Formats: sequence, structure tokens, C-alpha cells
Amino acid sequence: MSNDSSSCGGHGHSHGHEHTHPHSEGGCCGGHGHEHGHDHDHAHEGGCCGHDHGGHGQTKPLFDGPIFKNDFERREFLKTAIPGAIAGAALTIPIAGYMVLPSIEGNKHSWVSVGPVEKFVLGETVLVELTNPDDFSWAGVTSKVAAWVRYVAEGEFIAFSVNCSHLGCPVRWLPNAKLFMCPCHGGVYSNDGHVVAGPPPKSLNRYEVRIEGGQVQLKTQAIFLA
Amino acid sequence: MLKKTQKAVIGTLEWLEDRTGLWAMFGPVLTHLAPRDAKWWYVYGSATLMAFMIQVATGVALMFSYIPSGGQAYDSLKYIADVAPWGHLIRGMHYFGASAMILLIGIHMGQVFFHGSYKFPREMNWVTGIALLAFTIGLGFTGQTLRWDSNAVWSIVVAAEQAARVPFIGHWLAHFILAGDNINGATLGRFFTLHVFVLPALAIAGIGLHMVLVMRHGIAEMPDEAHPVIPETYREEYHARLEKTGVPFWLMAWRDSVFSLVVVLAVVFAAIYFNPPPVELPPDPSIIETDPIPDFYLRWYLAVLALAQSDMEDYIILGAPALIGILLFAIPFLSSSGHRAPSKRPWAIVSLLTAMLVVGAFWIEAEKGNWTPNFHPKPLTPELIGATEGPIWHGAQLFQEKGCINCHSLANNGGHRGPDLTYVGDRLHKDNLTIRINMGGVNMPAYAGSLTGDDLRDLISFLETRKKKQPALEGEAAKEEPAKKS
Ligand code: FES
Repeated sequence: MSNDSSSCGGHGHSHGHEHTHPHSEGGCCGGHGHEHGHDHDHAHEGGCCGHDHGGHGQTKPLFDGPIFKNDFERREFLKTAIPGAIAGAALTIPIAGYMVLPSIEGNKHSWVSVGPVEKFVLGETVLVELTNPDDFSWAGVTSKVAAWVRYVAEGEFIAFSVNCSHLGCPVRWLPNAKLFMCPCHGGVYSNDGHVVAGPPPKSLNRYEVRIEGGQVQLKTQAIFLA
Repeated sequence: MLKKTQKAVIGTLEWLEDRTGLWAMFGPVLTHLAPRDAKWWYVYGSATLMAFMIQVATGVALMFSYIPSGGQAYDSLKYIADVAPWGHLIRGMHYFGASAMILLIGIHMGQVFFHGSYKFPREMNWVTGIALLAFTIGLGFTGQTLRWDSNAVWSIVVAAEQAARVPFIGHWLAHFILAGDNINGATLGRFFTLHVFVLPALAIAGIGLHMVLVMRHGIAEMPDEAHPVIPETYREEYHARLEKTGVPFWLMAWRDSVFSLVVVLAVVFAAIYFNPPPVELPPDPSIIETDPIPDFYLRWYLAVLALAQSDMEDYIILGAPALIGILLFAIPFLSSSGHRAPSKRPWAIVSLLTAMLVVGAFWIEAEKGNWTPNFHPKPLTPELIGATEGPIWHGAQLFQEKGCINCHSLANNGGHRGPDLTYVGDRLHKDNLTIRINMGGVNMPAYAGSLTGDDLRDLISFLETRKKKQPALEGEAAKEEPAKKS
């Protein structure tokens, strides 16, 4: 398209001119100040003068031979293209690396206390919050996640990720029905996290749990991905 | 004196034109010949551009107050929405402008397809248009996430989970979307940059190319059965007809101007009289009282995904968008010549109507959202239960406690995930009910292990009373009847 703007619609050249001949010479529309060499004619065909003569010149192919007619042209092209390509790479590599590396490196995970053992009632499943200590100082509440923790027996806890194994929505615990239910597409899990209905393909993911100094601790982890 | 001034002005303009060539470059936009019949059918493209300009302008304005930080974006948005003078208005205009843009693109596409204007030589006009559609949808989705509330973070989780299903690079892609292995302080920056820099830049470049192509190939005439598109002769005939009957574009443009004004006024009025979607709970992933749904114009697609649940799911989640995209790009190459007149393209019109019906049907399904359990059903009233004590009453309590009501409704109380049980007593007998409750189904848990024999019996006696024809009429009689039983 570059040829359109450079060669068309010369000054004082209104659209209504009589210039309808399909095979006009290389210099389209006779715009003045048109100095392109004839070697480059091929780049000026179809599409000269865009709008009002868009299709004219169709009979002549855009490229009627090799793009580079000789070694000189090829060398000239490479002289331009190679520095350009190197400059592009020199810019792209650091930028792409900066954008992509953090998501490849992975995050650090650590044990986080969610409360003293006494706070939990035997047999009950409760929602706890944990804050990822590895997150940025500006993360605010975004660094929090929730988990469903059940006090199963003396010294034994189970912690479920709240993320549905289907598409990650947060499942809710129905204490009377003893079911986890997902709001998004109605996936249902039993109290031990097995799928009992709906689309989820797998059981609820679990966190590692330990008791340390009277505190129940969960180890932060990556979000579960199908 | 006057003449002198006139001369000076003209002299200045001529100098400016000589040094810049701006008129030579852009004059043809105004003066090129447009088909005489390009009237009200043709205003949707320019109106889409107007909607885009509203978005750029209001978006820049919003940026004066928005803070793209994981910890602060929510507060700054709350400030814009509730406190900043005219903030509510500008946020509303940005939202309704986005809605208008999506709707107008839909209408514009529909018109171009209906009139076969995408045919030779305008194939690339269509292709660049589809790219613009994709950028616009991207802007819509990323814009919703900048609200940075609970809906936004959970939408991103769902998006990451979908991306994770891409073969081989899925997990990496998901982590790239999340900017880590879970939602964190860096997540918002991605969506912010896409929404504010990358996608607008692509859209502006795409709009430029789209318009260059409009100039290059000229505005399509209204379709005419007498002039099917024959690539060999089309251009010459088109130009010949234009030379004879065409009108300079600027003499036609008042319609675009008037319709764009209507769009602007509609957006402003909508922003004044209606509310954009609320800023919901904070972006705290430990708040789980949420059901992430996109804004209305993307909601139909949510229904596609939700209703796709099956073994085919992975293929649909990834394949449906790919297929829709490929099909849209392919349209002008599937039929690039021949008739443009709708009357001669029955199958094209059937496809258009089908597409509209399918999208419409998914839209309605999405509004109903029946695949979502109801987590806050109203408690069943004694009138509805038809008892205040005894096994039927107890069965009704179990129906609520055990989670039945979250998915099944009784007289419009409860969820719609599973079948409506208002009249289940007419359909199913004791044995069938027992089997279904004990065994469950694809979308229903088996309750065999979690209901005692007595509970099961009571639940079934409650369900058996769900009949259309109560033995007695409504009123006191209906109340007496269960009393007798208990
Ligand atoms: S995300 Fe839970 S059922 Fe789909």
C-alpha cells in the first residue's frame, strides 16, 4: 500500500478526472514529484491510486520476476535487513524474557499457620484463610487464598483446596448435606473430596497439613490445574 | 481588506499543504465517490468507530484516577464509582460504550454478511474486521478484570484453568495468565497492560488498515441481482457505475454523523440513567461467595462452556473458539464471487439466521443460568410442605438440609440444576424415588450412604405428596389433608 500514498492524488488532482485507462504507465495518476526508478515498476502496479482506480492494472502481475534482479540488489537488501533483524532480536529477547521468566521460575511455597488446634472442632469442616508470604508487598488482599480444613481425628487434619477441579471456581461446603458444591456448573464432592456428581474430572485437591507448636499449618501451593 | 485576509488565509493553507501534503493524503477520504444507494444500511461501521473513540476518551479519563496495583486497584475503582465527581458517569460511559461497540460490531458484521459485501475484492476488509472483533472481545474481557473485584479474580482463575487445557503448553500458559502459580500481586499488571496498551494499539492499527481497505476497494454498492460479482470484470464495472452515479462521500456522510450522534447520546443517557455492573466484593481469593460471570455481551459464551459438560468438554472449550474463529476468517474465501443479493443466497441467509438463533438461545440459557445451584434458596413454607410436623414435615426439612433444594425446585423455590420436583409425585413412585435417591445420577450424588432408612422414608413420603391434583382443593381443605396423615 505504501505506493498509494506516495504516488497518488498529486496536488490539485480531484477525484473526478478522466483517468480510467487500466494500463497506464508506471507513474500512477501522474502525480508530480514522482521519482521512483523504473527498476521498481513492479512494486507500483495494482492498487495505484487506491480508491478510485483500485483494481486497474490487474492484468500485470505484482511481481513479474524474481524480487531481486541481481546480486547487487540482494546485497543491498541484506545490508538493510540484517542490522534491522539484529536490532529486533536485541530488543525482543530481553523484553520477552522479562515478561515470561517470572511465570516459568515458579513461586516459593512455605508453611503458614491457620490457627491453634483448639480452634477446630472435631469432625467439622471450616473455611480458613492463608496469606501467601512470598507475594509482593503491593499485592494486598490478592495474596490470600482459602482452604476447607477438617479436623478428622486427634492429631489429624485434612485441608482441601477451594478450587473446583473442573474450572477452578470456589466450592462451598454444605455442612448438613456433608457435600462440597460448586457454584459454577454444579459439581458436587463428598466430604472426603471425591466427585459424586457433575462435571469435575478429579477429586478436590488437597494441601499438605501439619501441626507445629500447637498450630495447624498448611503449605501454600500452586493453584490446581487440570 | 477582506480580500487581503482571504488571500492570506488561502496562502497559508497552500503553504501548509505544500509542506505537509495532508489534503493530498486525506482529501480523498472526503471526496471519493460512494455509491448513491449507500444510505442508512451503511452507518454501523462509522458508528462502531465512534464507540471506539468514546472508549479511548473515557478510558484515558478513567486512567487519571485508576491505580493498577493488586492491592489498590479495587479501592481506586470504588473511588471512581462512588466518590469522584462525575466518576460514576464516566465509568458508566466506558461500560455502555463497550456494550455499544460490541453490539454495533455485531450489526455491522451482520449487514456486511447479509449484503455479501465481503466478496471480491473486499475479502481482506472482512478479515481485518474479524481481527478487530477479536481485539474488541479481548478488550471487553480484560476490561472486566480491571474492575478487580471478586468476580474479576475468579474470572481470571477460570480463564487460566481453561488455558491449562491446551495440550503441551497449557500449564505454562495458565501460569503466564496468572503471572505466577496462583493469583498474586502481579496478576493485575498483565490485564492492565493488555487492556490499556497492547489491545488498543492493535485495534488502532487494525482500524487504520480496515479504513485503508475501504478506500482502496471503495464502498460496496447495495446488492443487485443484476450485478453478481465476476472478479474479472467487477472492478471496471464498479468504477464505471460510480463514475456515472456515484456521489462524493462527504455528501453522504451526514447519515453517519447523525447516527453516531445517536450512539453518543444513547451512551451518555444510559450512563446517567442506568448503572454499570457493580464493583463487587474485594479481589480477595479467600472470599468464596462468588460465581464469576462475564458482562452480558460475553455471557452467551459462558453458556456454551457450561452446557458443553461431557467427555467432549476439552474439545469444546478449546475447539469451539478455534472453530468459530477459523469459520469467521474463512467466510470470504468460501464464497468470494457470485451473487451478493440476499434473494440469491438463501443458504447464506439461513446460516446468518441460524447463527443469530444459536447465539440468542445460548444467551437466554445464560440468563437463566440453570447449571448453577441455588445456594440461598428460600426456606419451604408450611403451606408448600402441607404439614407442620410428622414424616412429611421431616422429609421437607431433609430436602433442604441434604442439599436437594440447591438443585431441585418446588414451586419455584430452589435451584434449577436438576429436574423440577413440584409435581414429582405424579411422575415417580416410591420405588423409582428410592432408586434415584440412593443411586444418584451423572449430575446427582448418590445418597445411599448419607441418609438413614428413616430419613429416606420420610423424604420419599414428602416427595410423594408433590402432586398436581391435591386430593382436596386449595385452602383449608388442603391444610386439613396432611394433618390427617400425621
Ligand atoms: S468449576 Fe466447578 S463445576 Fe465447573
